[in-house]
Amino acid sequence: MSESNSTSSEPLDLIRLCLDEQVFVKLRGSREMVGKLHAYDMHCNMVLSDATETIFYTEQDSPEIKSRTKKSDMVFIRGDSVILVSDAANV
Amino acid sequence: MLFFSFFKTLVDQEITVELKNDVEIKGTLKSIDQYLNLKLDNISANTTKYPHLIAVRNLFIRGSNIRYIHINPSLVDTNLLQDASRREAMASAGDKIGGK
Amino acid sequence: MSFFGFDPSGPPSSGEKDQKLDTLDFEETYEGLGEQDEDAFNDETFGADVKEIGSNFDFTGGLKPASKPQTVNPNLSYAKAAQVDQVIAPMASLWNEEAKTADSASSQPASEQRVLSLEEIEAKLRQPQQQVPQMPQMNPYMYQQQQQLLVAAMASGQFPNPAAAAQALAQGYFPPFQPGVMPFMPFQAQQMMQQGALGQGQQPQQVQPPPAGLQVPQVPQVPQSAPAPVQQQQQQQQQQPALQAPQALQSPPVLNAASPPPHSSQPVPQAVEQKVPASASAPSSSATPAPQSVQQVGSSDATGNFPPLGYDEKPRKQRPQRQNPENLTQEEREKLWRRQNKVSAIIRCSGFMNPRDKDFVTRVQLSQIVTDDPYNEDFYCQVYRVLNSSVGEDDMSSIAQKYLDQSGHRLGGREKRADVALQRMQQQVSKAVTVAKERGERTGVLAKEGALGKVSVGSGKQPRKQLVINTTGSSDEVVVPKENVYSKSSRAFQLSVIEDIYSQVLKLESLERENQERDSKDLWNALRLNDTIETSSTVVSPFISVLSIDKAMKVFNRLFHFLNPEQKIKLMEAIFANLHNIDVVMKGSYANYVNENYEIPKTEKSKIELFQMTVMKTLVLFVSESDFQQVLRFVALIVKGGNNNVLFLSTTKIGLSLITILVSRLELIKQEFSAGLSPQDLAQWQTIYDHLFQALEGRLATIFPPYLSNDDARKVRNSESKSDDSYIWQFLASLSLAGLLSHQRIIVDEIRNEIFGSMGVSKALKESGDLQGAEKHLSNLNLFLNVMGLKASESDITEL
Repeated sequence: MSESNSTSSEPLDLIRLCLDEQVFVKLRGSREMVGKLHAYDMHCNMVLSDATETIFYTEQDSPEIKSRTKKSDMVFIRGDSVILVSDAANV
Repeated sequence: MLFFSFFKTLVDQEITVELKNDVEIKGTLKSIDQYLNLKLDNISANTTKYPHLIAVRNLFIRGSNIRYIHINPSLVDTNLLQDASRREAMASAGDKIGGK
Repeated sequence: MSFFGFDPSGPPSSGEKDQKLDTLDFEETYEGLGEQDEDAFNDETFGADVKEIGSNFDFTGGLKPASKPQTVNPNLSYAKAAQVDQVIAPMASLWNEEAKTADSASSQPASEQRVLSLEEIEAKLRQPQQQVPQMPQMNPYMYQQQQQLLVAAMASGQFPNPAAAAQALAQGYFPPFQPGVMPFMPFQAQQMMQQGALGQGQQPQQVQPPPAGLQVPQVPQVPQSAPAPVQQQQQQQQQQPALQAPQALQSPPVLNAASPPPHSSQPVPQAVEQKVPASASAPSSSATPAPQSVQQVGSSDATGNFPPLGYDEKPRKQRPQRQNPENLTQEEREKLWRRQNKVSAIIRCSGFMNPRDKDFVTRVQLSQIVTDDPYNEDFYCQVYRVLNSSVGEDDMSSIAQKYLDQSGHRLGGREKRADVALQRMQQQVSKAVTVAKERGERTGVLAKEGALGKVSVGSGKQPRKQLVINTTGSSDEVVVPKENVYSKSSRAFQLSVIEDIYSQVLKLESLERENQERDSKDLWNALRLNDTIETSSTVVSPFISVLSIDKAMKVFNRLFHFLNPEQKIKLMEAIFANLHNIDVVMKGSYANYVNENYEIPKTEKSKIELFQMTVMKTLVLFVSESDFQQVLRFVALIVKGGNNNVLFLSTTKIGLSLITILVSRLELIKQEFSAGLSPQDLAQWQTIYDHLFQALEGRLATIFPPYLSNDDARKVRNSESKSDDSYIWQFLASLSLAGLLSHQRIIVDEIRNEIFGSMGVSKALKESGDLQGAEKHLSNLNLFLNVMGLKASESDITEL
């Protein structure tokens, strides 16, 4: 059997592999999101379920990076905020 | 068109839109277009931070300003959505679905 | 009505058209020619009801963007069209100071030609009335125009006196407006104008009649930059009237009657005025509305009822009402003036796009979202609505339809117009769909192909252009860079196997929906059952390795549906033979979690549940329809298949359940259709049963997970202890059923403690008042005991 079936010819194909899987999404504005991927399109718009968003921030006069998390049962992420998408198992 | 199609199923449902400037607006989705511009009705926003939205009842949001849209999970058929997503991926890859 | 004294009795210049002209009813004339014009959108552009606009001349046309491709004269050669560049050259000078001076010498000849052409037009216009019979020969311009009747009509209606116009031009009547006018317009609009001018400007040049002495000397007075814009405007006007030919045609006769001599000085300013406002309307500031703009408004506003403006030095001739401006009272003039001011303010920026332009844009937009396969494009929404049936999906039959429903209101606002426009748009949509379909079939994707590859054209689906590199050679021999091949042990490989399966399933489902023939070959290949991958412990096929991933389980029933019977059996056999290698099965064994108090992790538990709901459901259904020999083979694969450790399998819920199902199916067939079974079959089953029993004999008690055990020696309590243990008793029941009395004795003996333990629990529950729980325990127990003709109560066991 040929190997070509098991290849990813386009970057977005990698995201497709993660459908129905936990994904890690890095977003603009020092944000990260982990959740189960249910939909994506070529703009990297996505819908995640049981998502946990982590927002990193620093307070004035303190170099320490803090973070807070937010949960969402079902969230649509607009693609123009997305920096990277990865299988959550890899992170 | 996947998300256009997706959001069409959410018309007349309550959603929470989080904009890139951190404004969060909850309201009833009245309409959506292919750019994912939205029309919201009966909105309520985090007005302590943005009091200028207090008097606004409905509004139009240009899609590009949206960061997240939070949705009631009971309104989403996740398996169907995944299939739709696969279809979209196949179609844009030129992989023909169907015999037409 | 007579058209410039057009003599109806004169010989027709060309067949049918001129015969129509004979009637001198210009409405009819237009209609006949309008059909020939093949402008399908003419009605839409001007409104189906021409009279609605009445006899007003839209000189300004308010329609600046003169991009009317349809007005290009098809009879003109490209070479001729190219000549028009000369005419446009002065335009460049307007923008370029250097060019201006450099071209000053040459621009004059150009303007001369222009002036002459204007005169020519006039001459032509007048000729028909005087020399109708000779019109074809004497008036080639007119002749040509007849094929483009609209243009001709326009010329006659709007420029009754080109010579006068030229004169006015020479007098510098409007040049002052030019600088403001042209810059104001978007560059593209200008280009469009130029192009439009090209199309229309050809004719005047071609005609090139001997210059009238009058105009030539006057031209030099005009600023150098002016001539070109003027020409363009004139040309534009020619085009615009073409669109509005009906109106234009109506009025000329009136004009003619009022002032037959075209050369009179009065018409001159008028023509100029009209031209200037056309382009000047936009720039003219509302604060200081120039007279011209006002006039333009009057004319463009199609208010034929209004008399000419009082301050308009030159009376308008084209409209009958305006022949006597003095008839207006001052009050009326004031009113008109105010109104026109208002309108001019309103339409200052309107009319940049005429309805046709808007249609064009709308069509482009439509072509972006239009699809010949709305089902796939709108898959989620449509299926969701069917599944949830909250909304009838009939109205959602096509995106384009929906779009049209909404956009109809935007077209004009007038209901009638909207209706017409809607019909037009619907036709356009179907056309657009057809075109897109054809193009798609031709190229596979919408693409332009170059040496490097294809540049895909942007569309609603793929808004960004992409370079698609040519892949040479057939698709079979795709050379894949090594780094693109997933290692077969990687998770990405597993996921890609699943997604390949999904792709095939989705395709087959589409075919099924369309009632087309389906071939499961690709799907079968995607399963890769013949392929092998090495895991840490063993070698299995990729499919077995991915079957524990949620989305593979979810698709199992769907893919199974499309396999042919032979493939189904192969797949079943592969699964039964490899039960031990299916993660979700083996990770469900309590034996893996001795150190965790036998607590199976939550994620595994949910996976087991999913497996039962998906894969096992399908397997059970299939087994329940399989014949004896087939089921026997399955059992043999489990019991004797090289990969399976039956004892270990029996500590898993899935393994135990599957064995139960197979054994009970065999027993069912044996009891119901014993006549159909050969002695060999039965003997074989006996052999296999012995194998199975031997594997479990002596350790039967271990099939009870400690957390479900009621044997005081084994039992452990955890969060799962309250869960259902019926699957264990069902297994024991089927094992007893298939066995001989000796087997049953051994079974009872080995699990004696569990039996009494269960009775004890039942008794305790009953005493504590939980009658339901007590009953449940007993019924599970009796499921097994009944097979042997026994019955248990809380305190003792009796024979049935």
